[in-house]
Amino acid sequence: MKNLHAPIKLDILVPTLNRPSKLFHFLTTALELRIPGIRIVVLGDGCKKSEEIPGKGMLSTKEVVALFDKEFVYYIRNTENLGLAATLDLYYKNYCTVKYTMLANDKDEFISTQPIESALRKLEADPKLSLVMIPVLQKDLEMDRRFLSFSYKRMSSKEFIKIMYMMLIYSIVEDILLYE
Amino acid sequence: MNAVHQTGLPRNLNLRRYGLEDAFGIDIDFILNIASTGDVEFELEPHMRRNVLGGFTERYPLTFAYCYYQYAKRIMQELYTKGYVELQTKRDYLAWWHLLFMRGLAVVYQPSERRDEKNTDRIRQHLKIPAFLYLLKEMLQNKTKISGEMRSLIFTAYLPKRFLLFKWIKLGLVYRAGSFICRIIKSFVAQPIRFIFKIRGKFTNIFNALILNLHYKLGMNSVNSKPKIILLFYSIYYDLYLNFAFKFSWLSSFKKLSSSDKTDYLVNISVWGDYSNTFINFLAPCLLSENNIKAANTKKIKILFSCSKDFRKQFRSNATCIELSRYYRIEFNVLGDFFLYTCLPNFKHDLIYNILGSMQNKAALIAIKEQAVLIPLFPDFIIEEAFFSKIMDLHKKYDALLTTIFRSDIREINQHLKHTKQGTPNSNNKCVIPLSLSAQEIVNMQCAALHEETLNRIISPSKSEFSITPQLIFKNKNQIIIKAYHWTPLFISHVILKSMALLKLEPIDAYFVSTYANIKSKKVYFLEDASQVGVCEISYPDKVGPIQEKPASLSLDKMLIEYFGKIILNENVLYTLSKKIVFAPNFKLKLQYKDLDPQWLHSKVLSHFIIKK
Repeated sequence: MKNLHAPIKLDILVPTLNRPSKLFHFLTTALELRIPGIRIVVLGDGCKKSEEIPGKGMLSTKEVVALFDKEFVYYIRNTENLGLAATLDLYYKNYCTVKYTMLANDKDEFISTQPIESALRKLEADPKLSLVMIPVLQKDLEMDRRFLSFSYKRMSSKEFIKIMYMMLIYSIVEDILLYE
Repeated sequence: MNAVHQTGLPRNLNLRRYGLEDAFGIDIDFILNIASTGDVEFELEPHMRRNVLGGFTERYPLTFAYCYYQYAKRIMQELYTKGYVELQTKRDYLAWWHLLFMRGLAVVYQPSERRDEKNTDRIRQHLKIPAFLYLLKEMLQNKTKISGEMRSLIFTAYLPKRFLLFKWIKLGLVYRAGSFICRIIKSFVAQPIRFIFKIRGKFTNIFNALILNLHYKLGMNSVNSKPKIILLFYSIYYDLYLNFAFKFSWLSSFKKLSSSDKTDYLVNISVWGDYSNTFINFLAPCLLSENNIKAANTKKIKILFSCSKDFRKQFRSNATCIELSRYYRIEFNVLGDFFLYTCLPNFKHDLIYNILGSMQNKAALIAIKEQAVLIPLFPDFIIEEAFFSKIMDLHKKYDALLTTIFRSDIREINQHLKHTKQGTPNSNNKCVIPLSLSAQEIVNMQCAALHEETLNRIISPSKSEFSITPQLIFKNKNQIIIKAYHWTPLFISHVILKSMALLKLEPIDAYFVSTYANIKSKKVYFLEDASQVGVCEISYPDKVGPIQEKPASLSLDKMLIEYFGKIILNENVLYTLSKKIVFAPNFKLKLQYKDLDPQWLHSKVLSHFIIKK
């Protein structure tokens, strides 16, 4: 059985702006796969809009967050829209108390906890590690799901920077091609 | 967190101050900086599914590329200085971003429904020199190579679209001749109009508003009762506008369409840009259903495409489209490249509708000339398998058929069709797969895949935000019911077309109800049961109109009374509002909104105006 009161090690940061229904879906999928020691931090960036949530009525971002366990979902709210960079800055300067963070998008949905648990184990076991990369499934125009696969093994920062920028670029290039 | 603190992250460039977005780029800055503090490991399995559609990247491709480039340039310079990357790696990396920047520049001038960025204005707040020059400067400074794709983008996409270089060379002679005629004309009347047209922006909008205003004032309802001198003035003014704005010389390559052949049914479809694929994937396969082909064999059906050159080219190389030519007579009314790619993106939204209107009205004139029944379809329609036979049956008794439909989510419809109809063909597919759907199947599909815009239009006491349009949607007793004062004609006979005041710049559906004097005639049939003739309009989910929030102090009926107070409720409008169209699916609707009987609109809202009257 999962120990849901384990000390928090990882904050999954979810910046959001006026998309309560998408956030609700995100949090629901996260809740289904709840992992001990992980907390979702919703960074509301000046959210003002309410949306219809099936079965729940018209809810704002704050009200959506309130539907979930406070220990599991933490809400930080900017009264004005500051943008992603400033919001992250505020989080790291004023709220961050955990060892590891991960960035997610409110349009995402969780499909498996295993890669996150495995990444946490790796980070805990080796202080030399600074980063663990996890791939995502992408949903595109044709509803196909493409898997941007990684087949790399552990590497040094120099090796990573030399190779990794290509991977970042490829994924972005692919997206742009997709839209054309 | 050690790595984050060690590197002083996040390091904001504050591009937002210039109307840009730091979210584009701060992520790579973050990752590469963190990575520079230690080793990196990888997981092989994904943990999340990410929806890449409808985001800012898609809506602002140039801002995306520009902002990312600012972050990429900074981090690469720093990593190079620290010795983490070699000079060649830095150049390769920046060359990728130069290519993306070029892609952004090339696509930004290309019209697209899914793109909000139509020019370089957004990045120019931060950039002090023209975007293309900036790119060349960066390439020279960083000594990055020009790839084949970059060359191709510059010479075949960006420059022709932006400056029309090839068009000028190609049409040099035509242009000279045109200039000569132009000089003669402009000395009399055209100069002021051309001047205003040139400085587009605010002046163009005012100019358009003036013309449309005049157009409405003079063109609506009773053209024949206006004094001849006003009609003459109107006609000259209007024709000048059309000729100079849309038809003049090199602005567009409109072809004079004239046909002596008699056509029974003239289907007009206006298609350009992204709509090409929607047409090929959905409407074209529907036109090839067995029953529709049978109908095309019994009567002469001509399809007139008002389209771009690209679409015509695509049509001629696509198997599904070639198959269409076997059963239907196909004609093209091609818009010039200059017009589509250089003028169109600079125009405001309503002007795109004016172009559609101009095209539809041209088709209407051809229908009158050929004594045909006009069927104005749209490339994002799905029609039922027996569409033409039902139209033909109804045409025996009626001269016009009016319907009103709501938008459905193209992706959900696509998914549904993939599961139920063994996959729809796509633009690259060489095989032809007709799409046969019954009217009830279409109704079911529509109700199962409601578009966000449709949801916004639903009038219900349990909602606080609405998109109020001429189409009010109600949910009642497991049905979706539309009350509207704007109906879409599915067919109009040449008899009605002749007696209508054709407004040259407006799509026919926008004015049919308000300008056709005999709307109440028995010859006009209002489709009140959607499963009688199945038609569906499909859109991408990000195409959503403005939403209006209901003030808490205002009840639903008062909000609508306020809305209808701003509309001229003439007899035609009230008459069409008395009609309704019912969509009754064969399954239970999963909509959380409270039911509202559409009769409520009459008793609580419209009665207010009728009594006042």
